[in-house]
Amino acid sequence: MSWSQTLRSALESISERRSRSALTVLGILIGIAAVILTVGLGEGAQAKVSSAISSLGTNLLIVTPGSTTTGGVRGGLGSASTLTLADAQVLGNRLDAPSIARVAPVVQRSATLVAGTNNWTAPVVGTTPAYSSVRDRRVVAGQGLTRAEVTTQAHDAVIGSEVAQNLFPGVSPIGQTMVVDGVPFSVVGELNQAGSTASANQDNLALIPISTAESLFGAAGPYADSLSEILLSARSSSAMSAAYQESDDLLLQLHHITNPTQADFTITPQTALLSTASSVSKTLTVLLVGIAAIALLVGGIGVMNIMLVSVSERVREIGLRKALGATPSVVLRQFLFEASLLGLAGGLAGVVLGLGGALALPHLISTSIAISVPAIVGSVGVAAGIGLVFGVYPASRAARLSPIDALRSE
Amino acid sequence: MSTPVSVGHRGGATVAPTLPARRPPAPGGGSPLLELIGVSKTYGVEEAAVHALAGSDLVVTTGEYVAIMGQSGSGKSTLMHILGCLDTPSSGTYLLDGQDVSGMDEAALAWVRNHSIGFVFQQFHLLPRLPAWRNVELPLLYAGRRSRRRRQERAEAALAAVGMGDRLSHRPNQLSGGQQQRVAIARALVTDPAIVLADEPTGNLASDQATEVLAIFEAMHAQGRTVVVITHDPDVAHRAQRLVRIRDGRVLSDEALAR
Ligand SMILES: Nc1ncnc2c1ncn2[C@@H]1O[C@H](COP(=O)(O)OP(=O)(O)OP(=O)(O)O)[C@@H](O)[C@H]1O
Ligand SMILES: [Mg+2]
Repeated sequence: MSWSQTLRSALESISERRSRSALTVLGILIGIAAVILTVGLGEGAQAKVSSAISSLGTNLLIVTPGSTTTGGVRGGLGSASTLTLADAQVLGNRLDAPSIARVAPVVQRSATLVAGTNNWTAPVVGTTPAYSSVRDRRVVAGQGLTRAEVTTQAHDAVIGSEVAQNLFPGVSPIGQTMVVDGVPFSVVGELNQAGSTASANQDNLALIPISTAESLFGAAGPYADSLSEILLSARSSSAMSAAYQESDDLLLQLHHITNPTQADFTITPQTALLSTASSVSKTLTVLLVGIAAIALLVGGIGVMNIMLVSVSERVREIGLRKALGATPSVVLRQFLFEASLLGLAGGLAGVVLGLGGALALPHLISTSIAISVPAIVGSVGVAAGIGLVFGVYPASRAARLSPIDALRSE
Repeated sequence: MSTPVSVGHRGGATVAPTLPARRPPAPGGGSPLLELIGVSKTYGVEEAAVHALAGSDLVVTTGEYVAIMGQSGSGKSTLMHILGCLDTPSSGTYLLDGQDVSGMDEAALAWVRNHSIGFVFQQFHLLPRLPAWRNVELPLLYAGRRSRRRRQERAEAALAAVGMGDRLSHRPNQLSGGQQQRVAIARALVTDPAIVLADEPTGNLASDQATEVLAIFEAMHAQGRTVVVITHDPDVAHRAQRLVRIRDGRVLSDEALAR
């Protein structure tokens, strides 16, 4: 019997058992679509977290006052607000710290912002023009902070999109006036949207010149001269560890600390944040893949069931075909074709449904979803494998019976 | 009734390539074609064992027309299945045209079943989902006949030969028992086999239909084919040349019949 004849009889026996074939295809389809969607959701979440973190700034190092070591010598965490503008200046020196590209000292406090009848609470960040490049932010309207504004202690502010929406709904914030702790500021620029991370909302802030901030917050704070943090950017991601080392050495030296374990500051590379967050979302992906694997298994067991029943029902047919001159290999070839065709149909439909779902889902609920090629290949492979093993193995056993034994079977 | 188209010609090469070419019928008897030597068939084990065949010897020569009779359960069908290479003996030897069947592989057995033997089952064994002509076409498919049109023509001719020319597209469940039996006979004849083995081919037929079917077997025998028929009907048995009686899995008597 030729291949095309075998293919035709496989197609015929599929269409003769329409509802059973449809159920088989459905089982495979659901399993595959479930895998594609769940893996896609996991990978999408992972990508979203990574991009949110890298939106904090590329090659970023954050120096905060206080130590993570809990030596008995010093007081509680953060009690030593020891970072100063002088520190920032040294770190910004190319000769002393060749691996550090830019430095942005930060003085930060939460304040109530008032514009007309609107008021809104947001962190007010006193910093230098380097801030936007260190944090990888752009100014989308107006202009950013300038060196001149820092020198002249200008009462100018660059605000995040959330502040703009709440203080100046429906109008352009540029040129408007807002009042911070009773002092009027004019808004000169608006930052791009950067979304929020687990720890901070990147769009809810107002940037002002650091000199202005020191005089604004100075009277109120016990540490008038101290910085909230210093943001550093390394020249490249490969220069991260060198930048870390240089800033650590310089700060220890500036603070006259000989024992590094006694450091009164902490340097956190952003990569550490990234790897923590991505390990969290990897756990999520593993969980989702687990669920998907169970979906595939359940679908696969359904397919096995249908295949087993369908083959054992057809042992008599196999016996008859052998009695009429079919060799075991011809019988097997037909069952192989049937199982492959069902697997192929279910696989294709599952991939189409999974991809369709992956494209449609972000429009329905706010989520990001990735299209995972390994998930597609893996799930189709598993479904095809199940179909073949459970469609072909019982058929091969039946094909080895004598025709009469097969014909007599129930 | 017309002479069946399917048996109208006769080639010398309808036996498996592994077998020697069939010898021409020797005058006064011919050569042994089917040869059972001490063949037993046992189903089950120990106390539950059923000895369906208990050391049967039988020789059928080329071109013979043999009837087999015996009580129900005497082992006739079992014997026939072994002759048709559908089942294997528990012990003893079956020589088909001088060759030991136990030494043949699956592919050779399939070839013999397809090309050399036409088998009519007691229970018909038609595929319920296929129309009559597609059931009859099956052996041609496994014979590797490529032209679908030619296969259909031959299947329809074989059905016409058994008087089923007007039921080509009916499915088995749309046919009477006798009609199904004739479809099964058409399927056995369609490959033009050298050996026809029929297990009660007239059991479900009215007498005029039975006469037609017997005429087909006689025509096939007249063309030199070897025909073995199981029957309970003495009239059917007496159309044959030779009558073998079976009891309890053994050959009880073996007589030539005067016609
Ligand atoms: N698969 C089997 N398992 C167990 N016993 C069997 C099997 N097939 C046949 N037998 C037994 O073997 C014996 C012979 O059976 P067989 O079918 O050859 O009888 P038969 O002569 O054809 O009968 P009938 O005229 O009723 O068709 C019977 O006793 C039967 O019960
Ligand atoms: Mg019987």
